[in-house]
Amino acid sequence: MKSFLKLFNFEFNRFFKLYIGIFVCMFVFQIGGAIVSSLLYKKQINELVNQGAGQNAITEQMEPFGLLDVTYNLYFLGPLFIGLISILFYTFFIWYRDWIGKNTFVYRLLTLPTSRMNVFYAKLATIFITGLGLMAFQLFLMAIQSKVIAFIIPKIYRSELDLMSVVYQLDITYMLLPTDFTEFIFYQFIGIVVTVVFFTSILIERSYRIIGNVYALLNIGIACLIMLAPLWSVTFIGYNYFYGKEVILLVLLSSSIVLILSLVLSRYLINKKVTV
Amino acid sequence: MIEVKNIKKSYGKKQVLNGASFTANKGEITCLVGINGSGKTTILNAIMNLTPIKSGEILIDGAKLTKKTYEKIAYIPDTITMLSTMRIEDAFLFMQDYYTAWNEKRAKELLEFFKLTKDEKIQHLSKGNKAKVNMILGLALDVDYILMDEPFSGIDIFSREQIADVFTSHLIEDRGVIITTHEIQDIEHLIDQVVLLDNGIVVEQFNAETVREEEGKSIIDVMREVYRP
Amino acid sequence: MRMELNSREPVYIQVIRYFKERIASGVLEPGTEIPSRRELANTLKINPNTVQRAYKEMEELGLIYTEGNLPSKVTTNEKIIQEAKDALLQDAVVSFVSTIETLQIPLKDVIPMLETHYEGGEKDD
Repeated sequence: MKSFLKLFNFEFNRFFKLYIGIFVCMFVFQIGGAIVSSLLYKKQINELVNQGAGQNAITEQMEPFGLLDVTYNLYFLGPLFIGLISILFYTFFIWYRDWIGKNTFVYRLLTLPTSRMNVFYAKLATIFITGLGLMAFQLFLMAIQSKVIAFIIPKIYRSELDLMSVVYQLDITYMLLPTDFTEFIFYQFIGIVVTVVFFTSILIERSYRIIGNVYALLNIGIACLIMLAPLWSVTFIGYNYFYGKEVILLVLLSSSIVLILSLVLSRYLINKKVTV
Repeated sequence: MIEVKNIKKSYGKKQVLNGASFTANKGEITCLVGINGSGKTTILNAIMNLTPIKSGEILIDGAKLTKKTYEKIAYIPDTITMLSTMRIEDAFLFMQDYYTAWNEKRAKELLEFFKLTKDEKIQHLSKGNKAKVNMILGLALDVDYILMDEPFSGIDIFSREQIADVFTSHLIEDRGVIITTHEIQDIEHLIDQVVLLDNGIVVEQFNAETVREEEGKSIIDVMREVYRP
Repeated sequence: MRMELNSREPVYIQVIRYFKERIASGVLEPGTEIPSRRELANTLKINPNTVQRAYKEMEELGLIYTEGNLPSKVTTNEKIIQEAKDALLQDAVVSFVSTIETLQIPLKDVIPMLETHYEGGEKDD
């Protein structure tokens, strides 16, 4: 456990610079975007006021401005996607950076006097925690955006949607931050299983190299088939045989099977098959 | 004792190791000699369980390698095994963090011996100095065995001399060393055992002094016989 | 301390000869401390195990002796030193004679030349 924590801390620090870079990019674009949009909206209102329009006339003519107007924008979704893609990319790079080029750090990682699975879990935890952190940061930024809007736009012209309702209305944020706690846990769990499947595929490729690419893709394919098995009934029977809740439970079950098989396979590969 | 017993390995269709066997004793310097591609590095990687073997067996003091073995056998590959963004002292800290066998006092001593300073960044070091730091990372571990892959290749003559000096110092004393090289001249008088590799098999293993005494031959003479029949 | 190593002769024998010569010639005086095994290995750039073996043989030959944990010293036994001298002389003469023999030069012609060379040995080659 001590080795795992040390390795996790180490892996996290290695990602830190890039990670902070993502945060800065999100902060600048999202908060900057919120400020600019709010100011533009305010300018429109001021123009109407200057033209002599009354408050009622303005509220009739202009849609109220709120957080939702800020989030349906490239400057909001762009940085968020960049962040998510960076973490997805890092899911692979976290392994390959130890092998590629002149880096032979994998020699060190694999010859530490600790279980090699600690290296695996440390990398997994890094991806998981940074992913979670990204979502938390996004939520934090949205809260700030709300404040920015509240600061710039007079109350009367604002749409008063609270933060969680906005999260709920946006597909992408809802996927990442379901308001329902069990759903949140469910998505996080699926996220971990998917990451483990990717990691296993990387280890397959690192063990069998060229032909390993085929095996790795096969592994991903099989994992998908098993995980999505509960949804097959729709394909085969033509309608959903199970109730929604049941489907979720079954997906949980099939994902657990994939998780266990992948971990067993990874343990075998990292201990017996992987090559520097 | 490190026992390598009849190990076989291939990369795709190419057989790299064809049933190589030899032993390396504690307190002795064993040198694996062979042209490039003769499987020297692969053998060291296999001993460290860094690459799988198809068949055969490797025993370290009579037992198979486990994670604990990494506290008694150190590997110095031909490129540095630390992040290049680290300073030397960060690298030491990393070693200290994970290995109970890490001997900080000796690491400092070696740093002084090689005339390096601890706040230098690894990526800013010359090739020779990188090799020295890499050596320190292995030598400062209180281990019974040290494996070194081509410690002399591609570095300047003075670094080479300094590294050769290590072999006659207390840093190596009583440990078992396996070293690979394709140029024997530098270390001819430093080594005890010679293992000659060709096409993935050990064609000959002999004691350097014994061959000189009993046959009046130098290591190079024996190599000439083996590699140029 | 420097020593040209012959790579076809056991290094330990070369080390013994090196010491024998210095002991016989008096460069290493009786009772002088000799370097430790590691020091010598380091100066000569040779394997410490080889030095160990050379020291062991020299000890057996009585050329050096060790008291307790102290560094080894050159023997003070005059007889052994004399024997070492004799042995070296013997070796030199044998190799000298074997060279001369092939030239078929009678001994009486050799001796005067030997004498001249011996006297002016320093400047002549």
